[in-house]
Amino acid sequence: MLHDERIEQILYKCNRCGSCQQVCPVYDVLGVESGLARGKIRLVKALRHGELELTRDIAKKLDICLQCKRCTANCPGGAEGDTLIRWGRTESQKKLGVSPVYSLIARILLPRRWIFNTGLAMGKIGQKVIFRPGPNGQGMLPRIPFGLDMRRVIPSLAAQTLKQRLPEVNTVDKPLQRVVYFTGCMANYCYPQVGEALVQVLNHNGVEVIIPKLQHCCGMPVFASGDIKFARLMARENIKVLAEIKADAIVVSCGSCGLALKEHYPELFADDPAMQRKAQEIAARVKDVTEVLTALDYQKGAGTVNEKVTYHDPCHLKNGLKVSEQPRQILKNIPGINYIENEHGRCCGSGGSFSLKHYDLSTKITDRCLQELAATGAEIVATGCLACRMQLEDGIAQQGLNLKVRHTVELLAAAYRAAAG
Amino acid sequence: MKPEIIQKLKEIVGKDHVYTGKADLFCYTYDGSFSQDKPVMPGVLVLPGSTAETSEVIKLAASYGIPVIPRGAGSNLSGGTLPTTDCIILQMTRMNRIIKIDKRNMIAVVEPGVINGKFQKELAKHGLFYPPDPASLEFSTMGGNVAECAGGPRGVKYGVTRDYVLGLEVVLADGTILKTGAATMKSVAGYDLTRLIVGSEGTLAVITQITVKVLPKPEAEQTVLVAFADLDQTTDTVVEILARGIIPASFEFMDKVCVENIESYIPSGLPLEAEAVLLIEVDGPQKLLQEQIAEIEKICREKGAIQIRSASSVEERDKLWQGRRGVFGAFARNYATILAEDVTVPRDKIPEAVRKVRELGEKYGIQTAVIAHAGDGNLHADILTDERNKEEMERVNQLLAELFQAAVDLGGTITGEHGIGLSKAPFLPLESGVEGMRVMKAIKEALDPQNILNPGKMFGDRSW
Repeated sequence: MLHDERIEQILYKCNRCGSCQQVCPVYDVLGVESGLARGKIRLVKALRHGELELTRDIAKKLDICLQCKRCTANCPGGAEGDTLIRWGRTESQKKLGVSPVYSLIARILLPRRWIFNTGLAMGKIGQKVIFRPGPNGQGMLPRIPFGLDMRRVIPSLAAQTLKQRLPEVNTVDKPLQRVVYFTGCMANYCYPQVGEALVQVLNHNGVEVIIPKLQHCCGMPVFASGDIKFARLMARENIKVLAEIKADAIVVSCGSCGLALKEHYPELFADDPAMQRKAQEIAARVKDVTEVLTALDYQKGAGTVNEKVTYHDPCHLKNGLKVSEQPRQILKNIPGINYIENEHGRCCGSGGSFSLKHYDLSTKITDRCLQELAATGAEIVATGCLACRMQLEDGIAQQGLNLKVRHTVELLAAAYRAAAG
Repeated sequence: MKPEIIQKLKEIVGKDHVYTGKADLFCYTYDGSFSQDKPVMPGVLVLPGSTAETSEVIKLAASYGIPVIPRGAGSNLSGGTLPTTDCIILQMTRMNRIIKIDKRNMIAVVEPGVINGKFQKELAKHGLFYPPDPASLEFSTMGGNVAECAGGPRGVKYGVTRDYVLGLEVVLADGTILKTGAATMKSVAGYDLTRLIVGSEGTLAVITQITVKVLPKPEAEQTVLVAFADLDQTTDTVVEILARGIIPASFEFMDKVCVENIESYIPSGLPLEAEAVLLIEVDGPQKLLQEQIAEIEKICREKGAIQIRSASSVEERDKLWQGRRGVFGAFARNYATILAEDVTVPRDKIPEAVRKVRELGEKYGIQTAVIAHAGDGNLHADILTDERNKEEMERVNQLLAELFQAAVDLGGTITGEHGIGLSKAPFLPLESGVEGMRVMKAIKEALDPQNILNPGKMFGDRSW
């Protein structure tokens, strides 16, 4: 079905029941209909049917959505709030244009691997000039405003990227499986230790891990903003790289990268059947690392990790890849871990560039999430998306909470290390 | 809306709680109901933070003669919160405190913006529960529930919202703050103003505080799913179970069309040869439930059930409820527009009512399905259609008009739990008669002489 026909069809799946009020993180803070999925879906309908003319005011409303897919996962009628709102964003980019900052980052920087790499490499030296150390020695704060909120604490760029630290092929004796690791930007540039842990635990369980050098940002930030043209460009590049490697699975350590590869790439090429087939072939093999592990007879009993742990569900991992039981299973099976569940499982408020553009709103959502995580009494929050991790770490630093955020595979790797002595 | 009014509203509730942007206001041109009318823009959205602020807003509205539409989650199904003219939308969701849970007296006091489901969770911590459970309970507000007199599946055993409201604090159309009722199980002091306001759909007063009675939470629940090849057998079963002194918490009924749609969407083992399915749930002390379930199963067999499945664990019960919960999603896959009607008849008239729905569906060429709270006679005749087909919608309207007349003819009502609002305003005289309308109009005029509280609802623009 053509993309536009599909949009019209899912528009009618919303019967305005209001059920999204119980899950929409933006509505939870703003408390008015224009912040809610139902409201934005109605605006999209009005735009499509000529009841309203697109204005900056309306574009702004469509912009305050985290694309968390909670409304979509929860909708009794099967409406897809995130898809409909993205349609509205695409329209507003077409008709109202994009900001120069967006254009610089998303259209010039992100799609060009060499500029992106060089920029970030220079950033490693440059960051000391433009950032100062964050509170309690955590992360960094910007010294001068350049699109980032002055209060925001972001992780330091790693001295060596993951791709520099690890070889392209990480093999083991008689591998049971061969997987491609799609690292995403966060594991490559900010949290290489997570990528290393992922390779360690997979290797430990007899899985060979390929890290293609030419892989590239998944394009989620561009896609979520409705910039279909550039999202396609980036998707095409990755599809080319991933299609060339024979592997049983394509593994991710971030829910958002996983969602992009699994759902959005095929959607992007809805009007291009040949390309869509390729995207679908890749999509079918995309798995979160915890899915790969739990599907294997992975080693459960290992060394002891004496920690109180809770788990934060990344929205894209839970509502996109439908992965939420597997990481919990892994955590509960690590000897010594005292696993404590949190009450609702709130959104962390990141939403990728949402947290940059709407820092205050994003922070309020983060605070509500952290309050619930802290109330468990856990000292470690495990999660499955590094964008969530960055967002939660910012909030933890701002509030001075006694919490650490770790990827699930880091805790499993720690257990294996403890066993090895 | 005049700028001076907006300015004054900002002074009353604070500028952060007044919205005038076009996109913001457009998002208040709808609610949970289906409407074929063009959206009407409200003039301003106001979120008061207290009873005093609510009173000041109403006083201001009264002095300018501006209509006020009180609103909670906007989930009602009768157009009860749709603007009909330039007006103030008064959204009560900031007033969302649970003021008191009094376990010894088994009463609770809440503000109107409290979500029913959140209230339930708090009560559960004290071993208590509040029975009214509309399908919207996870997001609809207590204020909205009271204004619409919300019902739910548990009506047969526990009644509806009006059976739990002991007292109210409300703001009248001139800004006066009035307290009604008492925090006691008994009170016959004067007219029952509390019950007058419960279900008045925002046309008589704005609710700012609610005192309800609550019950001890039942120890356990058990569920039976029964299928019948004959429609009359289902009702005979319901009547017989009640006659033998067992009052289940719910009797959910689904007809053949529901079963077919569910089975093609989320196969849950319902027999396709079934004319109707009953989902029976009993609650109470664990040791009594076993006996009750055995008795219910016996009655079902006597009445000719073709399938009986029972469950007591949470997971098993969830499985039995899966079909009922998924029925809307199953319809939504195949139909763009689903209208859930709520005509209600005496419970022994359910087979007749179901047949009438089918007959009307065939007459007008419209696909229908029936879900019902069979214990209390509350039908949800679902009209499965497509709002983009104008000619078909015309036939839907004719079908509905005949359905409402049929409900009244069967000794029932045109609305069991969704309310009159705008959607059913033209049909209220059908049930209430000239006398009923005259008395209601007199009450409305006595309490709201300027007709500023939710105008156009309940009475429409008709003169009679």
